[in-house]
Amino acid sequence: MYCLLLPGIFAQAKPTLSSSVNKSTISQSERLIFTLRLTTSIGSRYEFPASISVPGLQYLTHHTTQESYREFSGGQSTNVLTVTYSYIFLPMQTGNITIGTQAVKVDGRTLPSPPVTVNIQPDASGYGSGTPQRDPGDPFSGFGFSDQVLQEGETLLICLPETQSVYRSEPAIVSYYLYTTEDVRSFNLNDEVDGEGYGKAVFEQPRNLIFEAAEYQGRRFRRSLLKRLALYPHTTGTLTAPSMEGTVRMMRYGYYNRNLRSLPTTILVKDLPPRAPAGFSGAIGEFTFSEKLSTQSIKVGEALIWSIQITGQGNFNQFTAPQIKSTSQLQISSPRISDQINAGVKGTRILQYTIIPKSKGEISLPRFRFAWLNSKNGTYRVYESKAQTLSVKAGSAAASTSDLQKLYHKWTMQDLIPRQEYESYVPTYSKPWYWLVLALLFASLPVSLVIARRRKRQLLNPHIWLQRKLNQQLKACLAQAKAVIAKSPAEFYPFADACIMDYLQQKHGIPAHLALDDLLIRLEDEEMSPDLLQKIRSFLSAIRTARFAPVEYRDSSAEALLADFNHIVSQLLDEEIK
Amino acid sequence: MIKRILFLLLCLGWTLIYAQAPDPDITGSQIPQSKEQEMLLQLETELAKGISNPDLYYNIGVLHNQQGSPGLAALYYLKALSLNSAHPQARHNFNLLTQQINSENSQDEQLFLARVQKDIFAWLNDTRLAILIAIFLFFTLLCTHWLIHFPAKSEKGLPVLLISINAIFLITFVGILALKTHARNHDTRATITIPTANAFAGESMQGNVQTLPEATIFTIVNQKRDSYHIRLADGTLLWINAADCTRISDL
Repeated sequence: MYCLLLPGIFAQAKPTLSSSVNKSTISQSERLIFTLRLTTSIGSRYEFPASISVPGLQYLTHHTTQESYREFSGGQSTNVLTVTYSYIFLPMQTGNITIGTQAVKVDGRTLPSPPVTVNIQPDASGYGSGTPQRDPGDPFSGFGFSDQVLQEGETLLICLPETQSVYRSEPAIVSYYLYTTEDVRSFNLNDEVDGEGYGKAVFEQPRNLIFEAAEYQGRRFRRSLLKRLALYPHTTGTLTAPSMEGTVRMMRYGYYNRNLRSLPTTILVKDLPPRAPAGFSGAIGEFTFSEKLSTQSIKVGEALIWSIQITGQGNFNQFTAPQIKSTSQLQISSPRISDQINAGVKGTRILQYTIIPKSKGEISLPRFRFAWLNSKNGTYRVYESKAQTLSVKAGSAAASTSDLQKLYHKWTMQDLIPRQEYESYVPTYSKPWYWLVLALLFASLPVSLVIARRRKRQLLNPHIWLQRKLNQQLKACLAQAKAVIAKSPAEFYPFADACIMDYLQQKHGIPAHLALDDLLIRLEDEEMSPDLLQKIRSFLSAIRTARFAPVEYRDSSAEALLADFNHIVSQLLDEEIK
Repeated sequence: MIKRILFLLLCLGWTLIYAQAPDPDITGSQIPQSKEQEMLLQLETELAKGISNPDLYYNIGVLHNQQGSPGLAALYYLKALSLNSAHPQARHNFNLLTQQINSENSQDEQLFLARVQKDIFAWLNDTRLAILIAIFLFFTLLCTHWLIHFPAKSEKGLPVLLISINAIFLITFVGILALKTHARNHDTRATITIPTANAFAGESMQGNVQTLPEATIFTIVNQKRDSYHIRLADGTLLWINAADCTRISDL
């Protein structure tokens, strides 16, 4: 059963050969592609002509493609192979040329192709298309054929200004287009050579080549926008637009690059007409205005927004919004500007003035006035807003909040600071008092360190600390003793007695109630030198005697006892040092 | 006869009076000046005396703005802010002015933290920094005293921690003050003071041109002959004619 069905299911395709050309009427500068298409079964053996010779056509090259697929028809499945041979010719003469029958051998059989007639027209293009380069895919390139071969098709880089004349400071839009009749795949912008007397900004630059049909010098092309620039002329005279250079990559019978450069294009820059109106701040272009009040009925203390919309094309980035002065009845802020402008040239600018009424009643809104030069007809125009009246009612306490004032101040330029005199600014850190404060702060540190050190010593060795303290006290007593004598000699005796006794008692831990003899015995036990002991005994006895002596004797002996006191103190201090 | 002589004398007198009268068209003093112009002249006289005061610079900026010179206004506001970065009026007007001039650019909002950092940096003017330095120095020394007198065998973590915290603040404020002083003494910023200025990519001042509007602020990187190599806020490096702009350091 299968054996019966198989031949029917897998039938052999019958070989067929067709011929065609890419165009039946072709320009002499174009290429003619003659195609032979063979359809046969997979596995067939075929042989196409290696080259074709046709009078009036110059054979250049050929390329081939093949594809296979399965075809179901009439309950039969056929494995079909299609082989296409494309022969490329360059027309060498005009008129009708017939490409005769060509023979293709398929599995030993010869298939004839039908003849094809082509009408060759003379080349009508009168302008060049840039400097041709050697085509890497063209084996004939650079061997005498190239100049003719590359004249085929046209690709141009053209600069088109939007207008032939502009005013100084008015933006001039220039567009750079790629015009072509060829199979352009990409364009790479290499350089822009600038002229003088203008600034520029990119107005538009598409990411991809998007072609549209266009005519140029009476011929049909496809064109794609490459770049659009806004030029800002700042001198009058003739302005030369930037020249653009780039490389176009196109497909012919392989990829092919060509360098292009736009031709110089000039624009006339005119000076501004005289007699500019008051308030003209340099705006040039074509603008339309519209205005809107957020409300016309308002309470005192509430705020409303007055929006002025400027739409059109002009030098938006060279003029600012007019200020409207506040009146006795209305507080008007500086305008808040929001732009939706392309390259500072075309779009919409919205000016928003915040208005806060100060009093109730029917209040006329000041006029918004804007002067500009209409670039289309070269005349100055002035826009003045229509007369409007606000109906302001008495406001509630809640309405007059500080938020409104904040809103107003947020969008209003602050005014002058009223000052009669100005003093030179001296930074705080340059003032002497500042450094004095810092010096005092730093000075506290060594003082603190000294105190801490003393405390530390006291804690580590309390005996020595006590000794030093007593010595200091004793020295102080000696210094005071002279003053005491000068003041009242009678007071010297108890003072000196107290100083010596306190010192000895604190130093040696001797109780205060001991009599002089007992005290001296204890001091002897403490290994005090006998000489010093004797001196202390004599001194203490003398001052105790003198304390109760007559006044004359008491006053006269005080000086002598002071010398003894001095001597004893020195000896006590020396003894300690030893 | 007497009448004729009197008539001739009268004519002669008129001629003399007319000849002595100043010609209002050619005498400079007769050109009317606005109130703003008079005030501006007065303030510029103060400036010429060598007085450097933030309020003075601010007031000159306000007057320039009122006279339609936003570039000069921005320059004087910047000068006022370089002396006192917390000058509220100068900051307000400068922000509003740059928004009005470059409304497209001002829509690029900064990150919140960057904005906060910038505001804090501006709030810390010289006076505030000096006072904060004194306060934190006081606290640092106070904690140092505490540490010095701290019981020998006690844990000293707390005073050391407090000293560290205060010292960090102290060093930060000293650093900011040093940075601000250095920035003020080496201020290389400038603004465009003509309606539009051309900036070029190359030093030859030819080639690609970019238009900079008035009051555009930039930093001067280098100077060669009559041109400046400048860096815009977005980092673009360009060349510009020195005559088209004014440096803050020139004020």
